Amino acid sequence: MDFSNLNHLQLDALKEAGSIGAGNAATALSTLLRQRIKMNVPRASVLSLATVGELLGGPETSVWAIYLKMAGELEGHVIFILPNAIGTVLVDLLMRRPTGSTKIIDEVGESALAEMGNILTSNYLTALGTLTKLDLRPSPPLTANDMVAAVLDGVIADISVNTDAVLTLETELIIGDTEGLIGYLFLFLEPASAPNLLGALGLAG
Amino acid sequence: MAELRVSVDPQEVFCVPGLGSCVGIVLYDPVATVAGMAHIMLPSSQQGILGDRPAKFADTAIFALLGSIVSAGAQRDRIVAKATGGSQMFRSQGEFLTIGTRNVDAMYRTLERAKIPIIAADLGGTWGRTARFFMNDWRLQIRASGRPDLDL
Repeated sequence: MDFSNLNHLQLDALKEAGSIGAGNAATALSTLLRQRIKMNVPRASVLSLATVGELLGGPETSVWAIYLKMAGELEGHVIFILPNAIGTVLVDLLMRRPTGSTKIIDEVGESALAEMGNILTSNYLTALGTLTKLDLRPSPPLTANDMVAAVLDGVIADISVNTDAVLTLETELIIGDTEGLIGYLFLFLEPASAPNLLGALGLAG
Repeated sequence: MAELRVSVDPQEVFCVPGLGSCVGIVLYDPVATVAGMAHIMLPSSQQGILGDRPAKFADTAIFALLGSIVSAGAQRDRIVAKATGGSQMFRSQGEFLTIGTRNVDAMYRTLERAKIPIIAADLGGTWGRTARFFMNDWRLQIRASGRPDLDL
């Protein structure tokens, strides 16, 4: 389906679904990090290929990305993105080290981040699956550390085969009380799965 | 993403930031001082819907670019190509993650069909790149995090 034709009711329902998923993910993250997690109201945006590069403060921003492919009754991609500087703080929290201990993220740190991303994203999908009563199957998590546009372009290409409009549900997770510790959780939905998701939310076509 | 630009200004600099699996390709005629750059996302228009962005697919991008620079004064037999990108950002066996490789293959096939020689390329790998093309010296500069700059 063409995302540029979604109405407000449908976008609101998608936001609500994103919100329930992210709420569950935030709770899991909070337990894992022993930090308070705040989250903003999710954004459901339909991006054009021309503007998608402007996500997260410009295409060349260095980030950690933890990626899962979503398969089953909904297809798409779930990605948790952390600006580089935040990655090191999170590794400290995950390893129960004093803040500032981690300067460079080594293999152990990377797998800690991957595991955290895995827990976060699978909790997101579990909540989404429960809400929609759809069978969702996440792939194992994969990580990358690079420019944000570079880590996202394959995902965006994958869902743009038949459309130039990309639907994304984005939630910011604000970690602890420190200013600027924000992770970004994205769900990129395969256009062919949109009718399924909207149908499950009671808002078909 | 999926942009296509053409210029006849010798001071022009094309920039494509943050290429992952996408391919940045430039075609130019140095004698006529005409160049164009496209940001390719996917291998083949046979597998998808084109819409109004020919640069999205390798096959349509290269022919659209060729048409545009010829209209801008490039001479067919002087046109050459340089390209970068086509990475695999997440290491895995999955099919989706091979988009970079498939983009590169499709680019080579299309260039061959169009009979355009590719004179320099930095493709593949597992890292992102920012590409800049300078029309004053026809240099394709490639920046990647944690790597020295590359001039092709």
